[in-house]
Amino acid sequence: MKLGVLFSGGKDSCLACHRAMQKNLIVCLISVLSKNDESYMFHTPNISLTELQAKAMGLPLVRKETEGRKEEELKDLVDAIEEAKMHGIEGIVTGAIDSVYQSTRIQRICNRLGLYCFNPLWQADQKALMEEVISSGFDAIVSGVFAYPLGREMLGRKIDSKLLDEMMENSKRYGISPSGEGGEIETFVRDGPMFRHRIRVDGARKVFDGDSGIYRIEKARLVKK
Amino acid sequence: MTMLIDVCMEKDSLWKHEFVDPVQRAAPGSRVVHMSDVTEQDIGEADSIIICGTALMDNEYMKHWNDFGWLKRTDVPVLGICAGAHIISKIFGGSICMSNEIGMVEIRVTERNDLFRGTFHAYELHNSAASLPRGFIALAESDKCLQAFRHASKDIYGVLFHPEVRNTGTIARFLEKKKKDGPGGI
Repeated sequence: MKLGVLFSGGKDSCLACHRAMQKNLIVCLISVLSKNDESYMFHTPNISLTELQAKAMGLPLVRKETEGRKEEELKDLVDAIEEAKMHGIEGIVTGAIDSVYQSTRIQRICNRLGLYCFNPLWQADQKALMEEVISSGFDAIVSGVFAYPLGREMLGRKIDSKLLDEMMENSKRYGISPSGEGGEIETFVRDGPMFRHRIRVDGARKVFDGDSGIYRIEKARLVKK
Repeated sequence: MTMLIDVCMEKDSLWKHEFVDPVQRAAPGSRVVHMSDVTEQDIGEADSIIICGTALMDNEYMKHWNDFGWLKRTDVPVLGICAGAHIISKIFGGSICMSNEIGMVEIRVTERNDLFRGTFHAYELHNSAASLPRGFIALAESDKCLQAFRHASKDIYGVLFHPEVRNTGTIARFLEKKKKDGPGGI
């Protein structure tokens, strides 16, 4: 079955894509670029770099910009998925783990458009997913922090077993999700098992404001693996 | 051992992660068998059976009603989730009708039972609902359709909602029911 992946460039959409590639043919990535930093649906830091990630994976990217207003952004998602149909897709893959809000809206859109919907990370144990990101060979970094006690020092750090241990400790002490499913962290994937090239970040800036921050990648390029 | 029956279009499909694995996490130690592989021996050896759901628009299981004839003969507790509830209804003479619910929906319990009580919210993902088959008792409803039913004399339950999302207690309480006799429940 030919599928398109709803792609934010973070670890969850990359892992969902990786799992989907084991069973189906992925023919395109679909990104919605939100101008709203607090988008309900779409992860935002470094979303414009999905184009570089798509190139690294050798897949076409369908891009659509949205103002990011609560339900209106869903119309832009519908447009993006409609456009992706030119690649012959029969279904959509998402990286939704536990957000009923997110999955409900995408399920409704797919149902209306006559497309199958796949959520291969749905309801999965979040620690196990982080371990799979690490063991599958993904090179993912923290590109945003949005919850206490995650600070400036976390920005740009690679997701490895040490970081996972810290997230588990924070989960116990402060109740935050170990994988950032509650929006506590956002991530950016520089390399992975389905990447033909890896991404080298040549310039980035940490923007930290009180209790949240973004690792804004300003210069990046593809390099040989 | 509890057996989970995977009714997704293909064996070991991408949907297994979404519709079977979460049920298996709620039923630790359970064994998964795809509907195309279930044998009479599997049914006889299980001490409870859960028929899992599948994706919207995956109606492949509706071509295989005959593979579930064992439901009429078994004494093993059975829980059918969404597609599994359709299968139970159909095998016992009920019918399937169009009814769409996607997302969290209010469920009202209409008959006291062991799996859930009162009014609660549950995750729905279906384009079809099942009618109440003869010999079954309606247990719960939503504004749109019948949500749960139970065989009048056996522990055979159908739920249209997905208890593996936000209502895993329903699965845990079902698992407390085990086959009363030894192996060979049919």
